[in-house]
Amino acid sequence: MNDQDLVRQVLRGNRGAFQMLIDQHKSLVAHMVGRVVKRELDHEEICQDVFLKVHDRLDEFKFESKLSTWVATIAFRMSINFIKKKELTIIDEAEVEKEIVDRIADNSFPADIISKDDSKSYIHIMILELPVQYRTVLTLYHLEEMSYPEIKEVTGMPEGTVKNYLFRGRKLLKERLEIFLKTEEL
Amino acid sequence: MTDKEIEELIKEELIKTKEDEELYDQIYDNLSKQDPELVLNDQFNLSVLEQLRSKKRQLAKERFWVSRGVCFFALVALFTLFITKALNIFSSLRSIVAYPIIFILLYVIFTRIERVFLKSTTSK
Repeated sequence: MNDQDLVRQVLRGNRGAFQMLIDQHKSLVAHMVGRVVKRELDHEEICQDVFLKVHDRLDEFKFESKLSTWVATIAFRMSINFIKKKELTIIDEAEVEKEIVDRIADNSFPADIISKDDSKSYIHIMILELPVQYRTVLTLYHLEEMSYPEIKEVTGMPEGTVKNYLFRGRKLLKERLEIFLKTEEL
Repeated sequence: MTDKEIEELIKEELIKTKEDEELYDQIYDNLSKQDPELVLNDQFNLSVLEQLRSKKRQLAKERFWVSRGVCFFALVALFTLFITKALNIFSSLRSIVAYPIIFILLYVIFTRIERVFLKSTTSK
């Protein structure tokens, strides 16, 4: 079933179709929310709210973009609103980048609290240590395989900024992974 | 410029050694995989559908009370019209007495409705 058929079926009140819509976008929403909000306790609740909002506003979807892009936009905005509401700071990336570099320098990242032979989970932890904008862009680009214009639509960031965050995010991850693997060898 | 070309440029700037390439491979590989910590459980779909159902129920309930409220006010308006006509209050000084009586009557009815129905629905 393509996007158009799926949306039409959901608008007609077909519960099975809505369940299919949830199935198709569950991972996208879970990662968008998880990477922005970072709070395990609120994660599932926000994901549920995202799908309820998708259901409520589906009649406003005009097929001008892919359904996944539209769903991701809602997930991103709701996550950002949640952070603002809970007064969790959307940290200034320059500040955090400096902090990350400092922490890399004195090796005080959470490497010591996780299994050293698990560089896979280490990378996931490292992603959560990045500024929210980096995490979002990296997730949309690599996991959801979205293009720059699609990421621009979801986040509202200019395309140049998206590329910049992607570049810097990868670089920070690489630097951190390098340190981690070196300490592991010792 | 295509995304691929941009990607190539990014790579040219970032990857200088074989070690760099391996590290980026590892990062790319991880970034393209789901974080097991962020996978939603199997019950997730059902709980969304359940929430949707209860939201609809709540909406239907609210609509019911709004429509009952509209009907009630229409009846009150008709009743007031009937009373004023029956007592012929516009034609004499009796209106000075009739209006406070109607007002008190309506006040008692509204207060009772508020106590019996509205408080019980808002407290749920």
